Amino acid sequence: VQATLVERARAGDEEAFASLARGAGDRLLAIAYRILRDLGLAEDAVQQALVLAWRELPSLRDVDRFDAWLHRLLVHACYREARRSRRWAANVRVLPVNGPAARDQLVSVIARDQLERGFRRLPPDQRAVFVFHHYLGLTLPEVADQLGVPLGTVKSRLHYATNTLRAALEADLRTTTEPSRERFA
Amino acid sequence: MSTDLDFRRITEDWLVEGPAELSERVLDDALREVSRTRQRHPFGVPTGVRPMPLQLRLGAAAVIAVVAVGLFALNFGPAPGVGGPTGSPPSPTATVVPPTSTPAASAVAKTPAATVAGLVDGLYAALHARDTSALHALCADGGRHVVYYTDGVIGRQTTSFVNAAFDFATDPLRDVTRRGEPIVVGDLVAVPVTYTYPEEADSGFDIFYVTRVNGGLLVGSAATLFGKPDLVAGAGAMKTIATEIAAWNKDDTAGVLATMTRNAQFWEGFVDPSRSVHTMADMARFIETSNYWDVANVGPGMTSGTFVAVPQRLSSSDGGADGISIYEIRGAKIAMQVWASTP
Repeated sequence: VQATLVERARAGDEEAFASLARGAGDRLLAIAYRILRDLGLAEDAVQQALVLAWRELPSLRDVDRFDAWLHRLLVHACYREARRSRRWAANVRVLPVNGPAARDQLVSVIARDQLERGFRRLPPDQRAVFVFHHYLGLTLPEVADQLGVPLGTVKSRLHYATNTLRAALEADLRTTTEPSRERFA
Repeated sequence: MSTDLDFRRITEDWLVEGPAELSERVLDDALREVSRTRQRHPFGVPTGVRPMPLQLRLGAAAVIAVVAVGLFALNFGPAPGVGGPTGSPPSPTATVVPPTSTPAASAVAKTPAATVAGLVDGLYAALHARDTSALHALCADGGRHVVYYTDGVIGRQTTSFVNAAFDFATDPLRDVTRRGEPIVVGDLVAVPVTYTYPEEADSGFDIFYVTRVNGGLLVGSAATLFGKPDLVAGAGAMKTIATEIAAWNKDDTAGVLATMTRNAQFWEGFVDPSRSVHTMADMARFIETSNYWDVANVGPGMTSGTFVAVPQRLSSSDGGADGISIYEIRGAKIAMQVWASTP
């Protein structure tokens, strides 16, 4: 069914494209948000990707690769949003602390905070690889295919991203023996 | 966090958090934008270049002031406001040839050239000789011709530079000469030219697509860009262009706009003026939605009058396009740019 819709959209059928967009919208937003960590930027990236997809659809040779192609457009839209944005610095998450926490819960809260901070320090291309692999569950060759970059590049980006995030987590976890609530105020 | 498994668990749990639904507002906005956006043919060839079904062609002819069965040769009349008796561009609707009419010259037998060089040589030989029949024989039916002429503050474009009654014998156009070798990129040709009228000689570029017919080559859709003889692109023109490209490739919209005049125009393809962008706000929006391309000059630029033609390559992760940009440079800024790409 999707292949038929893509064929029709490629031939200029806006309704067919709208169906494709509705089918893909939630997934695109989820990916964009996880790369950009900002809802507004993610929505902008999705809009850009959809408009570009419509405009460039006649150039898509293999309709079965529509999803992968759309993902690639989205990632490039995310790169652009990331480059343009200066909002991240102000978008620091404030974590709620409601009384003493069990160690597991505390680790979870701290881990999320540190992941957020560590992730924001990653360049967008490393974030994209990390999200495609860990969130979408794609294998590294699949990530390479969808992003249109060599497998070695994917491995390298994932390696740096993982090291950065792991370092962020481990550095913080070393301090959790005596947690200070002021950290989260 | 002691193991890779812990790391995976923590990061994947964290990644799952976040919004799950695209709001209707965002989707509707995107689809509204889609409805205002034309699809682009692979490698950026404007859709107008491709032959349209007859019904569409006839319908289009009624509203866009383009002769459905036009002749490139017939289009080589005087530029608007140059050498003509009125000194102003003709009304677009005034010169539309009804789609049911067929210019007599369309019956002229075509004589396709074997090579692009041969086609260019033949075309300008015919123009220089003021030989209407020879021109007709080298020009494909159905071509469009857009003229852009610069005199004062800004150039004017029109698709109405079409006159089935055009005749070298009565037209003030005295001569058309090449000023140098053409830039050829695939089936796209830009030729530095000078059009001579009784009062003045105006320089610029002809640019056209080559059409393949019966194993040979004919001139297809075309544009002529030229201006007053006192308008000359300065020595810094290529630097301006390089600055624009650098800003474009950095997604620096403000930087791109800084290289342009306040009322700059951008044509995405030269055969469809409706694709041009006229205001700075439009320009900014256009740049923001188009700059996933990276641009590179792939050959030396050539100056003719106030115009500079440069062979370029556009590339993105999804493909590439070769083509030619022609810039109008006014006071070290870009006043107009045409991007034409190969099929």
